[in-house]
Amino acid sequence: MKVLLRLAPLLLVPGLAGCSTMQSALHPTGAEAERINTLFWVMTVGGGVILLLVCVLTVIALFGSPGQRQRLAGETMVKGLGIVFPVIVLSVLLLYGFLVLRAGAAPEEEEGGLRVAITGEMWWWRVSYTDAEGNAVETANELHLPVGQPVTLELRSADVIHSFWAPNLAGKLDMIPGRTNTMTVIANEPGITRGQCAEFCGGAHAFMSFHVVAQPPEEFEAWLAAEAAPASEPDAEHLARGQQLFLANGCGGCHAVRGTEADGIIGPDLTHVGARHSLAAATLPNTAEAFAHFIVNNQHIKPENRMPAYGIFTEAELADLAAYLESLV
Amino acid sequence: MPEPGLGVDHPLSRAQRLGIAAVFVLGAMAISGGAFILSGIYNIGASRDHWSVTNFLITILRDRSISVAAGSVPIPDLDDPDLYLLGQEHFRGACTGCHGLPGGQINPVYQNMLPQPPDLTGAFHDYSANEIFWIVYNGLKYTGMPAWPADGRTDEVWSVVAFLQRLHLEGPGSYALGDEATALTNCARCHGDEQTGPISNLVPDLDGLSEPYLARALDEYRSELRASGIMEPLAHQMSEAELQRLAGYYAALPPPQPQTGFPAADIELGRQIATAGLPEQRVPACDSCHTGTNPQTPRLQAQSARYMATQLDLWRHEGYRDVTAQGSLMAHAVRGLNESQALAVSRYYASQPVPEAAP
Repeated sequence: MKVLLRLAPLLLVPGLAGCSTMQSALHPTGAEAERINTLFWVMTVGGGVILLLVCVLTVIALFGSPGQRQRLAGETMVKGLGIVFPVIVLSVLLLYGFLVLRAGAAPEEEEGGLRVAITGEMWWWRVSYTDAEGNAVETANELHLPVGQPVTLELRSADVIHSFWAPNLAGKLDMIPGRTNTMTVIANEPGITRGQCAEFCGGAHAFMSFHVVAQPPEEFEAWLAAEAAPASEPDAEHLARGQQLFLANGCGGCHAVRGTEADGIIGPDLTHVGARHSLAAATLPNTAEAFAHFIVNNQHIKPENRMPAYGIFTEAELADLAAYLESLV
Repeated sequence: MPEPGLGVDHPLSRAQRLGIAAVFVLGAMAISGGAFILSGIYNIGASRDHWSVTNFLITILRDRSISVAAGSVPIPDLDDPDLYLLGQEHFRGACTGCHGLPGGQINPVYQNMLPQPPDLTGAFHDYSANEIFWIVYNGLKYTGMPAWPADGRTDEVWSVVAFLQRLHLEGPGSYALGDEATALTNCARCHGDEQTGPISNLVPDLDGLSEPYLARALDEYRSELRASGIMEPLAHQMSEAELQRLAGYYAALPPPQPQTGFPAADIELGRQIATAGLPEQRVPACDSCHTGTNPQTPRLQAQSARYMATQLDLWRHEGYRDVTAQGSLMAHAVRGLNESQALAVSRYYASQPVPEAAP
């Protein structure tokens, strides 16, 4: 018994997981997440209060005086606390829940607002913005949003069911093959948060994450313009060698780097991969070492992913290639 | 239950007496068998033929075993010259050593093998096509006949079967006596040289391919990383200097002309796959790697379509060409192709002229 009491504080450890705010539904930065968060606290606190009440009544029932217990067993108490109180509380909560989640209502869409098409692939995110002129800007594994503006996300899947979940931003929405699910999100404050695929989609499901970068509108416009531009030309000899290796060894067959002959659409667009906050769908940091590691060992990092393991490069070639990819900002 | 033991009052049952007798008989057989084996009186030498009864039993066992094991396999067109000409050259290099030239004397060393390697002119007289296929692919126990050097390469075995059928139909005179064997004629008798092209569409044209790639291919055959019952024995005999010299010889030859005569639909589908890939099937464009600038990636233009289709087929199955680093990349890339798409892209590249070398 004493041992158990000493170990009891360990029960609090899982609660510490909520301390990280980067991927937390308890730390909302988006409009829908705020509503869900409020609903969560209302239900938790309300539930907690009712739990306390029930505990008190139980104590009275067990240890109270005969008079108190008689009153507790009386008809007024049973009808009042057993029928009227639950009906009122649950009805109110039900209506409130419906309002928050807008069940049955069509999502609000603003004409002319920013639309982002996100397609879930095994096991990465194909993200495509439509800019002011109507051109598609392809990128991958990162979602940028302007703060305060509603953005419509069109969620699709290229193969199996995935689910888009950015807990700081909004609730989950499945990406179902053959169907487009639409969701409107509004980021309320700038910052970087993290999201995850929330529907099991195969072996590397746990490694299918992404970052959400909310920026002030001017910064977002600048970012979108930079993203739409073709890749930067290599300005150093080792970077030029890296580009040659990229083009000569078939990387362009799957990956596109706009501005070069590489135009593959099977894998993520790498035109500005050096500017992203992470690699391999938020699995690795964005460094040259991580690039080299993924090129050679990707089957160990993300088993069965669609890229083959490249064992054909020497150490020097790998360093040049990784430096080139890191330079694609 | 009657008690065990002899005696008038408690006799043994019939089954018990039979059981005891059986134990004695088996014991006697085991002891005499052991005595025979350990005494060493059996003549194991090949200089003395078997007893006639042994020969009789072995022959029946062999032929019944072959007949049942051979079963029924789909037999390709054995009159295809691509098959029998390749089979003839493999026969020349790998079979005549023991079996001798058709219609000729075999080497005295192998004359004294037991059983003696037979003259193969009579192969199709004694066995059917599927049985000969089985023998060449699996070899024969208790003889010197080896199994096929590359497990699974049944396509190569049919070339030998086709040659043996032709030998049977046309007689030993149809076998062309080759040139004196040197390192180069060993290659040229299949792959051709500066005057002639390859003898069969199943054989790749090596003229003008990159020297590092040719050297690596030979090295992979020699290390048995690349499976071929025809090429592995040949590469095994090459020294490193010879290998480099032969690779350099073929790399320096002018590249061949494209092949013609393929259906336009195949060429069009092949062009699409080569330039744009098949994204839905996750097949990248062939041209994204086969650019002509990387010496480790071979030129595909004007190569034999039938050879390329065979190689693509090998990549789609595990264990043949996916063992090396480059091979595993190819296996990954062509995994999504089906047979008709592989044939179409092979025909497309075969019909393309070799691009001008960059200055």
